[in-house]
Amino acid sequence: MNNLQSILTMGSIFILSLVSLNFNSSLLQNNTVELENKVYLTAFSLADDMIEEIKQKAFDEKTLVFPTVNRSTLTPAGSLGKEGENYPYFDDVDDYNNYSRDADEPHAEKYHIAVKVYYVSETDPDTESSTQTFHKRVDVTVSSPYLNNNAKLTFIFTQK
Amino acid sequence: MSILIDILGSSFIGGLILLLILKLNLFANSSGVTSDNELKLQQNAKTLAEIVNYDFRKIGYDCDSTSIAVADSNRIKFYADIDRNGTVDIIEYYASDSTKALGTENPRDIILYRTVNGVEMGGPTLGLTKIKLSYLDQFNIVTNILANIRYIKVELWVESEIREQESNFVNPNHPYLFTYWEMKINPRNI
Repeated sequence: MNNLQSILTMGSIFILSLVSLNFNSSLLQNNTVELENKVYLTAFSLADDMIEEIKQKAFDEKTLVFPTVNRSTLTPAGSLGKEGENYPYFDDVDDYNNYSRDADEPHAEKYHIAVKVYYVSETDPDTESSTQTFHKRVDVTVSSPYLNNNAKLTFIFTQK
Repeated sequence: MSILIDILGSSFIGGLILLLILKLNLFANSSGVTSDNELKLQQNAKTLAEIVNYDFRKIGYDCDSTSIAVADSNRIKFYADIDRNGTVDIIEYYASDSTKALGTENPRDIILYRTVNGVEMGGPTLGLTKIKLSYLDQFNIVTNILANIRYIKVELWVESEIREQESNFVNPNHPYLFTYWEMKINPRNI
């Protein structure tokens, strides 16, 4: 073999190795995404559990016994949060504002669940309202060290 | 002599390249199979969750008395007018042991049975290996008082039905993919 042939052979092996390496890394990436999907599934089920739990609560501290037709009697937007109760004895939706907890599940640990509750505009549920309305939006965010992005579920509660 | 070295050298390099391509092909195939198994596993888990969710949400529908008759960790019996014909039905869910699902490779999978008014329906195993039911009161505290149950927490452990041949993501002693699903159901009528 002359020198040129040797160089060509080594070059082709080098290119083949690169292709092989890229191929392997893309397959591994595919596997990583699949595993991450499993973590996402659990994260969403945790978020859904939290919303399911909140659904059982009253709309507001002031409507525990009777509903109201007057928005101004509801808890002011700046005071949304627990009124002396401790988890799990929360009795209304906004008690969960700023509530957070950690959760461990069988195939992934260190999930963190955080809840945010705020009033939203009755005509545009994506706009936060600084005054009381009959719509409270609950954002449940689940994070995990195994997720690139957080899982977030939102639910809008209205006065029953 | 030089020609012989050329032939030997090129055969060696050709062999290396052939092995490399072969290995690449095997890896691609096994990864494809794992990928399909993983997808099927997640679909199975979702299907099981939807079946359970569909019935459990209706617990107590059109029933005036205590809606849950039996509340065990792997068995539940409840009342609901599930088919909306004006008559309250008795629905029961329970899990078999692993000896009932012999048609699959996985030795651990079980069958979830659903009976309506005593008529048993056992579907495919869908890779279910364990089901755990917990019963919670209005404050999310575990209770065994039937009348106080407000939430049912369902945990499903699901595994692939066929074994993984070459995967680094499974336990070599039990080479099956695994996923877990949990949900908390708040039936509106209890």
